[in-house]
Amino acid sequence: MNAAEPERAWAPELPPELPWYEQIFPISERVSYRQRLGEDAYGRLAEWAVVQMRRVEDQWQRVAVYDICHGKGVHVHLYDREGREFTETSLRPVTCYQDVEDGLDYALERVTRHWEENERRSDRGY
Amino acid sequence: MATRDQLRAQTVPAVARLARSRDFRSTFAADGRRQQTIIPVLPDDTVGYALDRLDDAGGIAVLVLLTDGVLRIASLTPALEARMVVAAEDDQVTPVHPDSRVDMFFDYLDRVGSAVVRRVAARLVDYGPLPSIPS
Repeated sequence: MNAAEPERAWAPELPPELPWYEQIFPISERVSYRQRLGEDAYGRLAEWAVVQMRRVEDQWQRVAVYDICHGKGVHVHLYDREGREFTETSLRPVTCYQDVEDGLDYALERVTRHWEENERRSDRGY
Repeated sequence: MATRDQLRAQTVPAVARLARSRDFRSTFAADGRRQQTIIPVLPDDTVGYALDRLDDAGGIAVLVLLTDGVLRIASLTPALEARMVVAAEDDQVTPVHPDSRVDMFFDYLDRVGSAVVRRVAARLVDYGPLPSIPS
């Protein structure tokens, strides 16, 4: 690539078909993860999201969302107790379909290791 | 020491990897729905814990037990009324105590294939001191 050209973000050849497939994994009465899969017309995984949820007073609320939307690679959004996003952090690049698959595995490993830290940060709101 | 929640969380990446395969989704999808609840459990979790998560999921879920790299999977759905009637007539409704262990529940399913289960409650009744056994 010419150094003068801006680097273009990777994007799937085809957009994911709607609706996405969603799987919910509760690990207690108050914590669960959601795996959302966006596949294209050929069944290729084109986008995904991993959502960490917690139940507060019978309402499920987002704590963290890992995804690859907008061509930004794997990144995580964190939300405070009012549901407001307070930070977004880039984690690793995505440059091909294999990176999409590997990035999902990475996000699942990461969210299941860091869910308590994510909750503490959500409580603090920074 | 890891909490039970942490131990269950550790199983999620392997379970989620399996669950996103088309084979898994088509095998366990309920009525072609695009949403599925998968309950990871530990061998010594109680059946009551699993049934509570099943209630949270609206009565349809897949129960997954991961031990020593081996996955055991059970599909949980509400029994049809006709199945309930037949099971009751044949005395085939399996009472399940919420304090029993999940691995025992899987052992039972391995033996019978499928079962109509009903959550039962039991309580200790104090009839006073046990009589001594004559020597």
